[in-house]
Amino acid sequence: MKKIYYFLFSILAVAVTSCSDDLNIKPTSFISDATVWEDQALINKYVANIYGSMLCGFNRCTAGYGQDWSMSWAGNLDGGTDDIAVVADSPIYTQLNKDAITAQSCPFVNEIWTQEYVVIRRCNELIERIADVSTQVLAENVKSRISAEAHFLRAFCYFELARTFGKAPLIVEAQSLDDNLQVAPSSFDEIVDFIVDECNIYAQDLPLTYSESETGHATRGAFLALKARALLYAASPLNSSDNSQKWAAAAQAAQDVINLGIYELYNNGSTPYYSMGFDKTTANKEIIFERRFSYPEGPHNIHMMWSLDAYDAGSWNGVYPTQNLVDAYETTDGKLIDDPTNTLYDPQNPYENRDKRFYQSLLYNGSMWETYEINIVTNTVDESKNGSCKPRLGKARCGYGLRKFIEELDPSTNIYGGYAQSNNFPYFRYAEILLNYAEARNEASSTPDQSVYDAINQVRARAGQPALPDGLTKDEMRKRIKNERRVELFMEEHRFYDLRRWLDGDVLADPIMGINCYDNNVTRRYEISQIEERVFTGEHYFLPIPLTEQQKNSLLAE
Amino acid sequence: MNYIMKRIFLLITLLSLIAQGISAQNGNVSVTGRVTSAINSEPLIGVTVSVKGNLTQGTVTDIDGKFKLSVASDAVLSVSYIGYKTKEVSVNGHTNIDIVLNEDSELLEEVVAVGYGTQKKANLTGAVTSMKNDDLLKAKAANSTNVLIGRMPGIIAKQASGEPGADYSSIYIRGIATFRGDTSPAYIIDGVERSSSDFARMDPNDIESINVLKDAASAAIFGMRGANGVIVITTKRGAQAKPTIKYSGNLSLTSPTKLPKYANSYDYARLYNQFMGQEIYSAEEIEKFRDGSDRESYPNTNWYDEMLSSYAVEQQHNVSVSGGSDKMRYYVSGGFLNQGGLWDDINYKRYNLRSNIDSDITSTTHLKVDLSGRVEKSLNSGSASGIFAALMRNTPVLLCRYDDGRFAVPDATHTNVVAYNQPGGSYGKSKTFVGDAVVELEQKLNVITQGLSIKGTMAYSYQNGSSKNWTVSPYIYSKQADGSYLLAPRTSPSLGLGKSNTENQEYQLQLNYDRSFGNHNISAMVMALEKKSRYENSSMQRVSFDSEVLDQMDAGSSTYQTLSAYDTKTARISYLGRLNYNFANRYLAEFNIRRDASENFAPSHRWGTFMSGSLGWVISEEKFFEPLRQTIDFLKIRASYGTLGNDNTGGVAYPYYSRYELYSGGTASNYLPNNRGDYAFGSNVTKGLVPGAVANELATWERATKFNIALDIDLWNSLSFSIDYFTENRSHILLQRYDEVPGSFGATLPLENLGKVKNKGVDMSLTYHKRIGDFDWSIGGNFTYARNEIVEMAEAAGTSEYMRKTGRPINGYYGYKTDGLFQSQEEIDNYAKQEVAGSNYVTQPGDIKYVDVNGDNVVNYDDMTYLGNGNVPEIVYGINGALKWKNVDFSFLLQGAGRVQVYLNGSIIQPYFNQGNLPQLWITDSWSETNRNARYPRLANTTHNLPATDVSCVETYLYDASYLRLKNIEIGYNLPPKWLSALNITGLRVYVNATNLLTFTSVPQIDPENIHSQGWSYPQMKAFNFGLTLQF
Repeated sequence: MKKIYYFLFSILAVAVTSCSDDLNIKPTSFISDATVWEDQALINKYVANIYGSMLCGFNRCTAGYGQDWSMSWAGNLDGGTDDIAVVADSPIYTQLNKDAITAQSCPFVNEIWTQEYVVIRRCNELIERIADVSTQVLAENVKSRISAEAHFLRAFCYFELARTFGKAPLIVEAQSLDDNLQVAPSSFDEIVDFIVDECNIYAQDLPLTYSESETGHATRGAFLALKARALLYAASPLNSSDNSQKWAAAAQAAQDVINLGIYELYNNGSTPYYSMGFDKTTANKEIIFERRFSYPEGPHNIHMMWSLDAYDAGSWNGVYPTQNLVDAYETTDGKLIDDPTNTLYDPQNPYENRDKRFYQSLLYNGSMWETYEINIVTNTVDESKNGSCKPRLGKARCGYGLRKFIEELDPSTNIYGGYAQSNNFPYFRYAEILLNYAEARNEASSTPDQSVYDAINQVRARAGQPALPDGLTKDEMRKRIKNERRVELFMEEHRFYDLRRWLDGDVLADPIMGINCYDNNVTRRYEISQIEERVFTGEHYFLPIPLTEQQKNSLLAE
Repeated sequence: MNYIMKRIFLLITLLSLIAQGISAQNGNVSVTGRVTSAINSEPLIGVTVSVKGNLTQGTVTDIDGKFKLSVASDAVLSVSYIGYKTKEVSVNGHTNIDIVLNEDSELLEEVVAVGYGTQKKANLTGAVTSMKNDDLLKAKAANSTNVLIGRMPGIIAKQASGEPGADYSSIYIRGIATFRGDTSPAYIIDGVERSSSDFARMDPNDIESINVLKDAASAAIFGMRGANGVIVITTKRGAQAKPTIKYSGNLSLTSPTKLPKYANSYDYARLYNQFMGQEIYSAEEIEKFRDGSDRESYPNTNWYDEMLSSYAVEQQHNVSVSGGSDKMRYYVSGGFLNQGGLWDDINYKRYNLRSNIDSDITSTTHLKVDLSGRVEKSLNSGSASGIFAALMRNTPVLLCRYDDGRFAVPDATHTNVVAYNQPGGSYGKSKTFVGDAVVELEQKLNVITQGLSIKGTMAYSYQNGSSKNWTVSPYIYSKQADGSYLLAPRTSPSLGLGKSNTENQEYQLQLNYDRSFGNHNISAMVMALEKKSRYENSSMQRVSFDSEVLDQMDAGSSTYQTLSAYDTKTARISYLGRLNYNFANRYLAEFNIRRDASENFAPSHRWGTFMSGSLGWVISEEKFFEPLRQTIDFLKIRASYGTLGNDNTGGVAYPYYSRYELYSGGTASNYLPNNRGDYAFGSNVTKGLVPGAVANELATWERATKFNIALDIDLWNSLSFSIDYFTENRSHILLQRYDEVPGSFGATLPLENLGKVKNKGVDMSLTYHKRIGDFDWSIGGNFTYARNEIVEMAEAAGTSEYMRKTGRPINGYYGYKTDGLFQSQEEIDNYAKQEVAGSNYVTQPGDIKYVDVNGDNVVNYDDMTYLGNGNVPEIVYGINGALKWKNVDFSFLLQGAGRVQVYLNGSIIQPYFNQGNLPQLWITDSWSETNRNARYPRLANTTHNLPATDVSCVETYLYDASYLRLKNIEIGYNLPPKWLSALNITGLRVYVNATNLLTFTSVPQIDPENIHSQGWSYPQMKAFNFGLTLQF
């Protein structure tokens, strides 16, 4: 018997002293730091993550906000302009459109601050780590290309910060927590200088184009386009008093992109302006740089949130293009509708003879969407004949719906799991470069030269609009360029920043107008009325740096 | 690990080899007798009379309290009856033995389960609260977490939802003391750590007792798992007795305690014009809403009525068989629960099985084999929160069904939630299987020294979950001008399947020593414990199906299918020890130590040592106390002090590791997928690799230092009172310094052991129990107060004093203080300028008056401040009573909470919110020139002098969520045994019971325990229960 007990105790002893090894579990959800930089495929995944972390007009502000409903259409800063009205009581847009924004909390703004810095840090880390990667893992030219991509993406993010906040700490290394984290902000001009320097050094390391399977990586053209945009902003009234040298530099930078000779306006199909937003192949030579999406892994949700859905099929339908925008579309003779010589515009037949981009950007009374007709008619005699998109019912608040960027889907195929989409968001496309050139060149000269006309007319020609009349003054040309940017770059998050850099605060304060169509079974009458008041006091040409960031870094407080 | 496992198997095999059975017989005599109660000399019916050491030889007394038994002439009879002290009587050749049983009024002999062992309640020095089976069955709870509500001091329990299968309570033992990770206690079921759902989904009929370990002394033995308190659950076991078969059944009719109320279509339309400041609905239209003359065009839809049935049915059944011989005892039970819900396709079913076997293999070897398992099946047509969100947003002017019964398209921005949730359409099904096995072998080692024993335990559990979600479009129509119906386009069905399984292994080896030397009583325990678990998960989805008939993955198109799978492992090792000493049951002392290691921390910071000590003094055992014994039966003071740990990193595994993580997909706050980490170069997606949090090699345990001092007193043989005062200091709370490190840093911050919280409070209980003749009654109560305060959380230096969280409770509400409404322009002019809604907002009479907290005469975000401690109550209490008279019994429980708030926003409280509904209360309680005493501001779209950002709370919509409710009331009747004896039935009790019958609270629209600020949850339910228990 005693032997047995002796044995038992030895078991106990073994049990109590054994097996700490069991705690050294190999983690399954991550890869150690060292491993990543020794493996080409893993480095590529790291690079993919940086591209995938970028904000754009399709994916803003979807990452957590107190009340989900206001996300019924989040995503696009142009909701903070006179192009778009949104759900009346959406807090996010109320802050922007009633000039009620404070440093305390605007989710859009907070997100720009934090997310751009997330990408910036990842770029800083990539730049630092890629230098030490063995050439057996990555060839020297690939290393310098990846490094240049990181330099580009970082510069891109800094430009987003600069045009939003007017200043931002310029951090070009992956900080450690022991570093001094209270970094003083650099001015708008300092950031633009940084971007220009970076472009001058690193753009040459980027190829002009990629093979089909590598499409999406940053190109030399993208870096040059960023520089062109940055210089355009730097020369604009918000950031500079009239300075023809700055304008000339901006024009030259745009010219440098044009001179690459590899970009052209997309002209395929019968509705090229609309289709350009969906052609993701290299056949689309208009795209210079874009935020790419894919289905099913990485779609965006603008279909669900933006489309005007006549049926109870789940779309949230919160985007209402305004009459203000509609009035910006010229008639087919190239005249603005408020031009007294315009004979083609009939307020009681408002959708005839308009710029083709109108039909390719918007839904309006009588237009077809998927399988049904947009009908906003209010029948004053027989209510059963009221249109399904009657503004009161929460649809088409201003009488219009969005077509641009929204894919017409056959619901029965349930492609995209219902309401996701995977078209790309264009960051830079050739049309913008042409308009950037036209604007900068016009401002740099006393009267617009032929190159200004050539640039803007190229854009107009794709839309079927006639060339601008000769002999426009600099001011007249500026007005036409601004209108052209509005119409051409609609929903691409240009207008939000354009109106600010132009100091066009009065436009941001214009009331929002909408249209109704009344029918008494005999005649039809279109009536325009005010939908919403807007406020802009001029305090927020730049948006406030989030309060919490000011509290954490006292150097950010004004 | 296989080390320990193999050795324990070996140990068991060896011990089995030395197992032997011995039994002996002697000459028999026939003994008769009568058992009576010492209190009133009444005969006791159904008393078990058996031969000590041989329970197969036994009987029960008849209606006259008489028994007859044939036993060995030198046998010892064991006489036991519930509520009485068991008595042993030697036969000594007598043939007639009358026995008087004494009531077991003082439960001081009561033994309670503590960590890895048991202890006499009288000798406890820690803070332990117990509840027995009888009490917890009164709750009639389908979910075991709900039995704790209001019944035990020190437990703050909050049940936020009554959804079938999801009706959990959140449990906080003595409140909350950390802001990182889980705040729920550890659950130990029969000595093995289990998940909270393992406890929640137990059949309450199987629970013998629940003991809650609240202080350091009692919980320290659980080391890193003990900081939030420990709930120790003991299941029923067989006793040495004849087989007893017991059935209990319960049928409940349940209905919501409260549903929000919204305006009818007439009021909705009429006031919408006022709200918008323009005519949206004409007078004729409004009249049509009022008179209902054209129901299809001018409906008055109550979406709640369309969607929800008025009550749901729930039933619960359990059959158990228990008994045993001197060598072998068993308890086997099977349970079934079926919870119906408020619409057709919502249901939760649970099947429980348990078999607890005890065997004395030899006189010194004890083997326990416990097998238990459950199957859960739940069905829902959609997500409950989505359904309730839609119900409260859909307005009464929208049509649900045409007159012929077809579902209508309400309009573009409101979904027909009723159509989407019809039976036969979309569904989500899930099934969970859980199997647990515990084998325990205990060997007395008196051979080595008296009182020594060794115990080995192996526990294994396997959990398998699967889910299937099938989504099809409903048929909904819009009526055309010509009277025909147009079917809305329907999307193709989609199907998702998910599977997961979890495997847990735990091994324990325990050495016990328990011995008395005169007045010196010693017991000691050392133990080694190891735990491993493994988790696997996979899911797949196809979104395009040709047919709606075939809900099979194979029938879907592979285009755009998605797949995902991963597995993870965890491990822990612990060593622990306990020493108890008492002198003459008068001076008590206990010491605990535990050493824990978790894979979560770097090897150098992996181990944590936790210790506690406690002392007790039973003053009533002192000689000098003799004169007071007449009044004071028992008096003890006890105190404890110690440290516990918490390894909960809040979901961040391995914080010490410098790493990159595969991007795991993101979800936007609108619940749609939001990928911000993978990228498509060309047409193929490259999975992203995200830099992980900055590594912190120093990350280690959170520590809780707890102190407890308490007094237990029993008076006049009928009153017992207990009060505990406690303090707790948490330190080393793992936090990420987001409040301090500028966002421009750009990386996920490391977990650092920086946070500090203190928590203190008091809990007490009082019970008065008296028996007068046939009346046996008791009344009691419990009270808990716990308040926490953040001491350190690395806040930004620039945070305003008003918003500073340091020094305030963890879950505090912050926002704008309000002081009613502005009554006149003059008042506005004389008040601080209101800029909460932006500097351009023009304040009008009837607007909310925001308080200028910082006194700078402008109210803006600088005036945001602390508003209240949050939605976990600081005070909870329960008052219970019971009365027994002959065969009738009655009991009740009143339960309440105080110092708690709830903040409401969105459709639940705001008018026309997001094109939504008008809460009824705005009709009577919104400001107007003629209704100046209203709580709510004027009804106008521009009312919204609400903050320009809605992330902060406005005091007007912050409600005191204190409540008092009649939690439980029950009347039962025991059928007289003489009626039943012919059927061989030994007991039959029938009862009616009601839960949550009455609630007193000032929270509008929702139940005060609901914590979803927008009210998007399945309501808390009240229930009428009918049932019986039957015993053979």
